[in-house]
Amino acid sequence: MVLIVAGWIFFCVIVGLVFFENIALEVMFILSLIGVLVIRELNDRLTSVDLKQRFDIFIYLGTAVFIFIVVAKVLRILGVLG
Amino acid sequence: MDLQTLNRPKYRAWVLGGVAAVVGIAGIAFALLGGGSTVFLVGGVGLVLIGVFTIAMVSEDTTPTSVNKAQGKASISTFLNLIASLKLEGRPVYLPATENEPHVVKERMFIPLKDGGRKPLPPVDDEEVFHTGTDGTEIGAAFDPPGRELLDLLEKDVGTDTSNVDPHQLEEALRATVSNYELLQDVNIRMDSKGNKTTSRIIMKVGDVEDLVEGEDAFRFTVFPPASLVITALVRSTGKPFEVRSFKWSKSKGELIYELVEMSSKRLPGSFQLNEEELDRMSSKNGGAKGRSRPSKKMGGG
Repeated sequence: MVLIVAGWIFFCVIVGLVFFENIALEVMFILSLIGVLVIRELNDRLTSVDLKQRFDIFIYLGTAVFIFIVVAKVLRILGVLG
Repeated sequence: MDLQTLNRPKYRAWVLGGVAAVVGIAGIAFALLGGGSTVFLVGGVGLVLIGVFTIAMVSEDTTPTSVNKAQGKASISTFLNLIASLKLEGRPVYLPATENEPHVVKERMFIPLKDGGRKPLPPVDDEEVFHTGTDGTEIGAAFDPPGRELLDLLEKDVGTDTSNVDPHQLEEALRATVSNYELLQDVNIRMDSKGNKTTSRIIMKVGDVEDLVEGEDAFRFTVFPPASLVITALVRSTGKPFEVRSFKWSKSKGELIYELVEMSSKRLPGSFQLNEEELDRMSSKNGGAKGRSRPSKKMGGG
């Protein structure tokens, strides 16, 4: 599972850099979070409760980063941020 | 800490994850301080994520496979020596737990001295081991099934309760777990109901277990823990006692096949309850019980 997640994050870095150079970091974060959510769901029955709990910490942190990115984007659109 | 210790998955993950995280931080620092391009920033953040994730996810202590195999082999051979010393030759019967009795809360595996057809089984509760039977005819011993602790562990680990699983869904529930924990390569459970009897055919792909099991007795008496786990799961799911009627071990295919038949008697407080049909058959076989009174419906009395 670690290999799958690591591979996915690597893929997200490449996608972010190649296709979205200006917003590569945001794209990478959001794609990574989506991937982690999908992997968590697909592995639900295979992983131990302990591992799921550790996995969830990453999901909570990723969600917090996602909210931050969305809020920053909205503020930028509204012109509050430069 | 020597090199061999460092090679264990946990420490390997720490080293690899640590290196990735450090390189990532260096990349971020270079991008922010040195005016590097976005490549360093995004790549650095990606590496930090990968590194932290690796360290966090691979943090369980592990033991070498050889140690696990030696431990497994020792427990299997102890169990088999005990069975051989007691001269138990009957087919194992798996007995379900019941919620109604405080002394029958765990599944048990009863091995009769000889195969006695459908004789009444003696009282079996969670603590008893040696059984002289109700009238001295059905002698045997009851043990904790070798796979029960393993099943409990898997249930706790994965967060499932086999007793709530529909017996027809058991294969689906078990298959992923046993293969993920590398207990079995695959398991196939077929249930068949004829009248009020349920039979089950379990096919397990166990792979190469030469290091663990010597001879077929470990399979015959279901002392091989993964096999016992699957049968215990079946008994837990159905809530019915099952007799291991036959087994077939194919060493070349690494395949183990069990035929199980539901015992029509039901485990009750320290006893088995027999149906009328069985009581009549027993009575006629015993020629009117040879002067003994007809066995009561509730054998053993608890």
